[in-house]
Amino acid sequence: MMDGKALDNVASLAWFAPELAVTAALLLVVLADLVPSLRAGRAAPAFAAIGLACALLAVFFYYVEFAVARHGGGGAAGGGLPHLQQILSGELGGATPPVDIFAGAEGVGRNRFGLLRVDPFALFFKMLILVSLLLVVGFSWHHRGIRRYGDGEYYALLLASALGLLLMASATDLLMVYLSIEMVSLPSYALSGFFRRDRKSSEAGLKYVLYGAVASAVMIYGLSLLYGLTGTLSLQEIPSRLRGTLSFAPGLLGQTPALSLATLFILGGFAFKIAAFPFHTWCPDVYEGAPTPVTAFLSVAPKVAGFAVMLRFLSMAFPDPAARDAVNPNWPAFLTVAAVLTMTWGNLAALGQTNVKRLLAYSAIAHAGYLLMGVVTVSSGMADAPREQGEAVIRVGREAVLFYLVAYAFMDLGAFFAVIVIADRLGVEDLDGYRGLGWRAPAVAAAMTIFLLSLIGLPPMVGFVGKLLLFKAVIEARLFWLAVVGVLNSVISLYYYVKVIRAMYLEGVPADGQTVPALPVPKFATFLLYAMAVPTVWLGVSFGRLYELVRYSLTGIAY
Amino acid sequence: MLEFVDAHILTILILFPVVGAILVALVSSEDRDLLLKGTLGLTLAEFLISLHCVYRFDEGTAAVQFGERYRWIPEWGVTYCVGIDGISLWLVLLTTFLTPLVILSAWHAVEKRLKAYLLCFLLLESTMIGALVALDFVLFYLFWEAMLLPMFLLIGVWGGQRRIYAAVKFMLFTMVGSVLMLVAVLWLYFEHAKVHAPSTNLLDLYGMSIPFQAQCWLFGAFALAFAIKVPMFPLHTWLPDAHVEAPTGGSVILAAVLLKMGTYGFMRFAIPLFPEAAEYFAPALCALAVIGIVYGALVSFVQPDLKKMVAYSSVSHLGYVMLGLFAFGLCGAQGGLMQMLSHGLTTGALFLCVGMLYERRHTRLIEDYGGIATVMPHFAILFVIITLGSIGLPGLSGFVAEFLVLVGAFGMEDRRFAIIAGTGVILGAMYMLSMVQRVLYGPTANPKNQVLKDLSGREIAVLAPILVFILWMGIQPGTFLDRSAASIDHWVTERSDYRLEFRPVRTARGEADGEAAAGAEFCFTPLPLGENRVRVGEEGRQVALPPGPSPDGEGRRAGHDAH
Repeated sequence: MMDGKALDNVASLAWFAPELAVTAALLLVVLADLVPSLRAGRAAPAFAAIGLACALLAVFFYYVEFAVARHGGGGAAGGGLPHLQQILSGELGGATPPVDIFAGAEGVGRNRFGLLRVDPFALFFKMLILVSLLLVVGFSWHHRGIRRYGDGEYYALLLASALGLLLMASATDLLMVYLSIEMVSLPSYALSGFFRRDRKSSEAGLKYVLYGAVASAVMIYGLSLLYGLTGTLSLQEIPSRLRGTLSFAPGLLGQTPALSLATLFILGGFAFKIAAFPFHTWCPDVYEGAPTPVTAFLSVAPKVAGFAVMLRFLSMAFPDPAARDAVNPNWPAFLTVAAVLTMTWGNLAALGQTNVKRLLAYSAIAHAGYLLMGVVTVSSGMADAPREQGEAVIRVGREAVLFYLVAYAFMDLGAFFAVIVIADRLGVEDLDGYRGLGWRAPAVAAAMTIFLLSLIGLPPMVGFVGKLLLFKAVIEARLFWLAVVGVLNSVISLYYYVKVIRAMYLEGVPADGQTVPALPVPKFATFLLYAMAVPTVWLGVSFGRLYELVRYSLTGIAY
Repeated sequence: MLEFVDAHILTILILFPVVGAILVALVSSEDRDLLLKGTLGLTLAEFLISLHCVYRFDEGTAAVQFGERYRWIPEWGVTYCVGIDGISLWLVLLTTFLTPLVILSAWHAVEKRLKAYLLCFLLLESTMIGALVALDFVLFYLFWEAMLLPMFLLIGVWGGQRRIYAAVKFMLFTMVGSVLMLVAVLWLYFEHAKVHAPSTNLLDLYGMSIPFQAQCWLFGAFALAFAIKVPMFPLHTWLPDAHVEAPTGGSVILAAVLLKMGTYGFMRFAIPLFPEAAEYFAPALCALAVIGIVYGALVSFVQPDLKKMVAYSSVSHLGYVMLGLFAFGLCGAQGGLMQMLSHGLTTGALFLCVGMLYERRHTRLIEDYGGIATVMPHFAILFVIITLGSIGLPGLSGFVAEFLVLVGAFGMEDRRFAIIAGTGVILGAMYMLSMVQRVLYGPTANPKNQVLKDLSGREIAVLAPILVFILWMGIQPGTFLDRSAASIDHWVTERSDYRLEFRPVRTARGEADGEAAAGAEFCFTPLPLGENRVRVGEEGRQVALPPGPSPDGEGRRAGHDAH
């Protein structure tokens, strides 16, 4: 692993611009809400969009900075623009040492290795998070319910959550991991209960809080155990401390029961964020009850950030790929079980759903399962392989996860947005309401079909490439049975996605003479839909560039 | 211009219907006449383009011809690679031949959503041709899956009573097989990448030496995917549903071309890639094939519904194809190919006939008919000839095919298969002739049947071309067999170490040379500079190979090691 430069608090600010931009936007939104004229003029969404766009720009500059490997010691970032061409043409530089920020003397809330790390890995996730948040802002812009309950609060909560998400992608300190996750969770609770007078929404909020509290408690317990075992909060330091201090006898939970337990609990916290077994039960109710833009947000952004923090944690804390080291807990086993149960449960439960939003909620759970397959490409099958090969296989798995997250962000947000548009026009979220939509609103139905086909994983959509990469990684890790489970799950999922397509095109088909009331769809909505549908298809046909980006983004991480 | 067409003939064949679909989409959906005539014109033009392939086809070689090969995803060795040989040539032609006829048959039959119906057919044609000419696994898989969607819509939107159930069942059955095939393809890819530069190109993957145990698993995954499509007993249950519910045009294409994707898949992929496993499983598959032959025939015998009867007869007929292929002899394989074509023509025509009856009487029950021959004499003549062709009367296409298959099957060690399959021929004659008797002859008891109009000129124009080919194949099968002889011979004799030579398009200037072909390669994705490796292939052709991760992960790790 590379040792990065650790910067002190002041120097760190140069690498903290995205978070600062989001914070500034957050404050502006809150202040604007106090001024009646600004409130009427809808300043809140505008500020939010501008803040997020600025953050995205900053992240992009940092990424360019890394990609061309030119940043000097602790200097301010900048000057990336001339190298834009280089990035776009795929000429990415070699690995560049990461930048660790907010380092200081040892103490609670401080550590000499830095609380956050800025590297291509983090920046990649930040880009994805910010893009999906911008899309969510777009979804919410004309949403009637959100306007009725108050713009200011909504966007303030969304931005607060965004700040947490950005921190999650960078966190390299146990406390920071926990705080950033909480920082995402708390506004999310409020967001899902945002329609205060709507019973389902309030119920969703409450359920989310209760589950969240349990998951959070479990996780902090795990973190405290790990801290107790190692005496350090820094992820970077954990491997060496573990090696130095642990010498347990073999026990029930592997060779190091306390460590295994701690890992299991911490993974539980991550599982809550990505809606994976066994912390997935909140998901359908919350997704169904929450305002749909919030559902779209919840199904993508925290999941993306959750995978970021999970991958970072695993690769920094347990850097041995074969997991055969005495001081390594058997995390691949935990996650394999979680992956299988998550996708199977998600898919089976989705089969009977008639509410499209709820159906997509279960599909989101299933996708967490698919994604987990890419994390567990470490197995006993590789135990006798040389270490390099094991690392290579893990890397392939990680690449697949990153790629699939991009694919997932587009197709899942797109599907939810189609649900929003249809609910806005027709006032229905039930499958029955989708009957004959293919003939009434061809543009929306076509886009929805593209997203659903991509979620199934049919070529030539990006979802197919993503799944291909995941299966490829799993097979390369010699986990054939897991690949077969994943594949069978894809077939199950086909059924319920096709149900939606079936309702839109096969049912309620008007005869030729019959005039159907065409559904007027706002231009902005159509534009947004196709802003997601086009990449869904295009990235499925020509994904070489994105794959390069993903590969480069992983160069800074342990393996 | 002509040179360009020559050089990209297969790509044009794939893309022309898509372009046509875009044009058709621009026509107002009110203008039925223009829609139908336009689509008919487009599909006829496509047929003419495909005739060009036959004309320029070099029958003296087993190599894939009209080859085009471009890099697509260099990191993984994925290419856009298409080519045609004696096996796929006739299937492509069958596709382009039947599509205009199907469009012609839709003139009055399709009342709702005509434009979308025609669009589905154009896209279906494109994907079917794509699947038949693709020589790269990723490309093949893309077309293979893309084929499902138009068919799904055709059954589901324009189908009968239980159309939605049938459409979903069709989709699910096909998907189960194809995703398992995908896993097998990935495994194959990695095994290949351990020794060679990574490639998903079929031509590179041929001739790998795979351990027997692994072959069995892989063959199993491939065979499942293709057996569902064929469909082989006992995986055939989706077929009667799909056929009965599909609109006439959908049934025709489903029977004539889509089912052939399964048998073609065995010929092109499953058997040559895993020869030992194929040999090992051959008795089992032959047994299933003959069970299918007899079972299909017996079930057909008792069907009250005309369309369902024809659907079950497909199960029986395709049993012959499978038996012929797994007899692993020249006769059997040629018979299999002939049976694919013959079945495509005769069953397609039968479905068209049933459709014509249905348009008049809106029933498909055999008992509702009777004595039709007296009121529809022209129909009766055509229908009888087509039925006889399907049964295998000497002088018609079915005879040549079934005869060759049976000769091939008799060449096997286990003669029981041939004997049982032989009885299938008799059973086939029984159910077909009894159906003809019940529909066409006897008293015209039902008054509704007494006023039926005979075939219109358009309807005769739909059936006549098929009839010509049924006769042609029966009387002069050499026309068809000769062009595929070299490929079939190669397929049979080189089966244990199958390789295909890739021959780029012969340009107007003469033979294409290897270097020109390599130079013509177009890059979809730009490569990092200076990392191209060039490998000289066995045949001296130069193939620019992309840099890729080597199996031990050196490529991927390069970045990491630098730290």
